[in-house]
Amino acid sequence: MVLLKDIIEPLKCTVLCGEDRLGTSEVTGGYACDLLSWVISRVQTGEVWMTILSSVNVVAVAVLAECSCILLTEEVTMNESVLERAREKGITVLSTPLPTYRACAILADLVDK
Amino acid sequence: MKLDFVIRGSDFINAGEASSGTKKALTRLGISPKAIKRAAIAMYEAELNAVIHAGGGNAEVEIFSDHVQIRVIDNGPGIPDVELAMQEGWSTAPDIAREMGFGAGMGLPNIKKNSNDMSIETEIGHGTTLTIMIRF
Ligand SMILES: Nc1ncnc2c1ncn2[C@@H]1O[C@H](COP(=O)(O)OP(=O)(O)OP(=O)(O)O)[C@@H](O)[C@H]1O
Ligand SMILES: [Mg+2]
Repeated sequence: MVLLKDIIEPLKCTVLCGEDRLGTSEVTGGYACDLLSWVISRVQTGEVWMTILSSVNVVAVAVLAECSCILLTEEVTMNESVLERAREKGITVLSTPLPTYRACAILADLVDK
Repeated sequence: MKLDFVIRGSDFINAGEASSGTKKALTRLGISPKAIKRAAIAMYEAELNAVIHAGGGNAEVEIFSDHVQIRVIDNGPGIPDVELAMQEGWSTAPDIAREMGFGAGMGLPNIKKNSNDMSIETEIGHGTTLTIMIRF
């Protein structure tokens, strides 16, 4: 079983919020997309959602879709008011300087082995 | 049990609060998590359509023993061609919504996929009422 804490180092992640869930949230896979309704329709419970979107609606979608975390790729950051909402809703937010393609490749290697 | 919500037009910060409130109520009632997820997704899409396309509106939720009925009512421009609007990929979302990740043209198809029944009543220049039924 892969947990959130196991992907932090390989994916060069900074934890923006939700540190307390790293040791308990299971990662079942990953999904990369920047169209919200598409994500709602396709992402599976427990998947890492990789995106370059960082508006407050991203948090609502992650809650609805029951993602294991939001992973902001390509050095995208999230402003404090949105992070506050993520804390409130219990969503972990990570960020990485890696391009989305690289992040997917590394995650697939971790989860599918 | 009945719940009422006001949905404010173009308010992207609070968008989703009606579906989130409904999710909480269903969770407290001990409804199955799968049914709750379907109801929350369908209602979120309907709510966001009112926010983005119709200048806001309101939502009425009625919870019964074996299903929930969700009605999202707006006084927006109406939908000229419902069949076209229901197609995956069709969207007239403005740029400001697209920049935030909306506008895939997947909202109405998502509602259909997640509900047991949906109906759209719409009149050009007067508004749209979307009724969704989710069985538990
Ligand atoms: N309440 C409404 N009032 C007026 N037009 C609407 C309403 N709901 C939907 N529409 C029309 O139907 C189209 C398709 O809606 P749908 O929810 O499927 O996609 P979207 O909202 O454009 O994008 P997405 O939901 O993927 O972010 C909209 O672009 C809009 O033209
Ligand atoms: Mg929509």
